[in-house]
Amino acid sequence: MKKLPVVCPSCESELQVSSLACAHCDTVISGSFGLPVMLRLSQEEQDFILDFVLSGGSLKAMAKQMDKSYPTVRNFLDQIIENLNRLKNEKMD
Amino acid sequence: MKKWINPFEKYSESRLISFGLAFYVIGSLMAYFFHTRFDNFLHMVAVETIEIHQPFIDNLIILVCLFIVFFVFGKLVYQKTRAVDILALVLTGNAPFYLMSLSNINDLSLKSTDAILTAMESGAATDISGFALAYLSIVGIVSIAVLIWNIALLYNGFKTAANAKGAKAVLLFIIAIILSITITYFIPNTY
Repeated sequence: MKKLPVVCPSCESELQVSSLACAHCDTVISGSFGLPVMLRLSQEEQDFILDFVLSGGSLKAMAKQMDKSYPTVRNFLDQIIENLNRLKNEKMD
Repeated sequence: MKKWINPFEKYSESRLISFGLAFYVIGSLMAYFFHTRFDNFLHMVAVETIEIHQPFIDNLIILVCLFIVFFVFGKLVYQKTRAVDILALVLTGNAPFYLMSLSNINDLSLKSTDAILTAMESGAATDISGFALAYLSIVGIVSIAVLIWNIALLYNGFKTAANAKGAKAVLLFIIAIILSITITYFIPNTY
């Protein structure tokens, strides 16, 4: 799957969604829509969240899946939480 | 290479503790067979006689002190620090220093030091054995390398166990090391 770009390659500002299209009937909606906070995380962080939810929120299962130690995985989750809080606050500002 | 410097990132705490306990037993037996005592943290001394229980108690005291100090400092940095991760950190992190016992195979360190001290005391500095000087110089260089490895392991373990980041973490780690040296220095080892 293609990676969704979230940052402008030219000026590094945050990108916005300007149009949405229906693949079935070709209807196109234009406008300016902000990206959800989750999508602004790195691909690795997004994948982690998906796997974490699918594993039932078990860090032990994640550690096994990622072949890492429990504290390493827990620290990574903490970093994601920190990033999510930062992005959330940025969005509110 | 990374697993030798930072095994804490990959290996589970149960595996690290198992390895650490094996290192503790092997390290203590090596100290017994090669007549060395770890009289305080990051310090080893060659001795003429040694009882089998002494290196085991020496190392146990050091490990308990390290565990208490690093657990308290870990909790200061990060509330979610687990005791089991600190146990894995101290058992594995202190393992390289056990290798220092090898420097006294056949009492070489002790004999070389005695030879140099005797020559110095008799005022005949020119009589100092070249072999003794060379041997102790090599031991000195290897000791520094082992010490760096030991500290790097402890720091990486602390960083992982306590999710430590930034200058505050480095400062607390340095204080923890100094405190561990000081505490173990003042614990008498007359058993």
